[in-house]
Amino acid sequence: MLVCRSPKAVVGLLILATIAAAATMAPHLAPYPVTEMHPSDRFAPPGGKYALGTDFFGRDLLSRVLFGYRTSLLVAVMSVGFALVCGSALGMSAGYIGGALDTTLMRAMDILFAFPVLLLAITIVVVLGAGTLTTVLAIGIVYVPIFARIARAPTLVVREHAYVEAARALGQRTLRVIARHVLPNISTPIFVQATINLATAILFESALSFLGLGTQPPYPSLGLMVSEGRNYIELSPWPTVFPGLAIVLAVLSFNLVGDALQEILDPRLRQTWVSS
Amino acid sequence: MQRYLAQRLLLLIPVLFVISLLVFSLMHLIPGDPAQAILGFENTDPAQLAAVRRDLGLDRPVYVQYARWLGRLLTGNLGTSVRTGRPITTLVAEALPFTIELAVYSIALAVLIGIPAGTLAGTTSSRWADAGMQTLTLLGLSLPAFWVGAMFILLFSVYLRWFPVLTYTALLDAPLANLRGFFLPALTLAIPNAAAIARMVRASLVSVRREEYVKVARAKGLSEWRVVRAHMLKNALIPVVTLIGIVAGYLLGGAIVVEQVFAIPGVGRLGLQAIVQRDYPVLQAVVLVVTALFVLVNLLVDLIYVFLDPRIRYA
Repeated sequence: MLVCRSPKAVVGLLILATIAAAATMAPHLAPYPVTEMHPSDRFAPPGGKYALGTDFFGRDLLSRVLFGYRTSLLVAVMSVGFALVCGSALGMSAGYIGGALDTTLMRAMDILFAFPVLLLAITIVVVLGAGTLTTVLAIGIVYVPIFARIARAPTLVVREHAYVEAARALGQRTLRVIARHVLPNISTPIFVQATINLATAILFESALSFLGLGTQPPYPSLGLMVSEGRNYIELSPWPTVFPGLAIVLAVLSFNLVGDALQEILDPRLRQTWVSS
Repeated sequence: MQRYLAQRLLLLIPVLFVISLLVFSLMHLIPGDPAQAILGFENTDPAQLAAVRRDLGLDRPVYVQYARWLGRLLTGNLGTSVRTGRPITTLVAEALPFTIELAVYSIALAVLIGIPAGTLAGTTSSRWADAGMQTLTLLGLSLPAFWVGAMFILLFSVYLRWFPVLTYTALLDAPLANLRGFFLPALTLAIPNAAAIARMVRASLVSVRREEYVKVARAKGLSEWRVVRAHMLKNALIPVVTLIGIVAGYLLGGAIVVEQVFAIPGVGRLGLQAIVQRDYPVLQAVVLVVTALFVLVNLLVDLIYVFLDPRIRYA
């Protein structure tokens, strides 16, 4: 496995696996119920009863970070999954069928691309109403054109290959040809793009939650925790510091894996350390 | 070139038209009655509701509303805020300079940080220096702007008191105080973009370092610095211009979060306030103006690209 030879990929995957395991096991690992308030322990510093301290309401930060990870990862995976499925289907259809369908679909994608991404996501959230599912849809819709473009370009090449023509000549239906012969041959760039987008999706989700347009209180989201903590940052920085660090760690792990995958697939990005 | 320019400018018309149609449609999909929002939810007098709807033109068919809105738009009239009653054109005109200054300032910082960092990573003969720079840039791409902004305020404004807290003066009134006030927000916005620029410069330099013309330059006995500056960087920087264009477009929309953290009265904050206050005509105008600017910036970048790289010929 080439991935295992890349230190970046190994480190990224290790962090990611730890975060994913912690998020999955959050109900068992969290020392306190996530919304439980301890008024006498407001703004407790890290250590002692509370490993990462407490927030304004005396809620345990470690428990909230663990559950916040659940929200972040869930939204990131679902939104990128949505974009991957819809975008790839549109891109492959446009590239394989071509003609008017290609022109119409890709111009529609161009229009979506014309909007600044965060602004488009915010507008979608305003239209649909704030909430976790809406955040998934908003981020997913914003990412659809990226996957459509990534899928379309190699489809144009693959559809001319002899094995695709042979499949067509055998009378296989378009959908079957796309699923059986085109998709497996264009999946690598789509997969790499998905890894990169998972990182930005976490940033997106946290930014929307920070603005009050994502996950709604009292359920924890890392962005929302930073937003709430910021109001009392002079009294105690920990409710702002730890959720932020948690976001950085998750995004960094996806970026490390995505970067390593890109280097493996495009060796030109690697420096050659032969004396020159 | 002139033909290309004319083509691109003509193409802008349908693009902007479709954007206006989409923005208008999206705003009409927002649940709730704008007339009810203006009157307040406790007021349910049907006569008053009907009067407000008539005043706003909401009793007309949607396509008539769109045509009237578009007609006003073409004369530079973005409508009136339903909350403050002020002309939206004025509100946007007041907010836009803050957003543009923030975007320009942060691009300048991103370029000042990103190009040297990328050059160092792309030309160094130390594996560790390259790996270190790559890790730093990945970290830069992983930082959420709202958190970095909050940390900067805490560290540099609250603890160290090096920068003023959330006070902004006009650029022309007090340039130094203005640049000082905007430094932390601009730096917050610049960090991920500097990282992206550094990665782009590094990738470009790595890909050109074995090109024939670089080998020739070295064979001529030029110093390594001269080879990098005059031969490698010159070509490596062309894709960076595209990236800066993309970044500029992103900043216009992405500044929303930083404007919110640093309480900068820019266009992004205007849009957010409009969401909170359900002032949808203002939100509609903000989305439209920012998207139109985004499209224009992208066009400008494409044109600069043609000037910079004579190999590009637009048929």
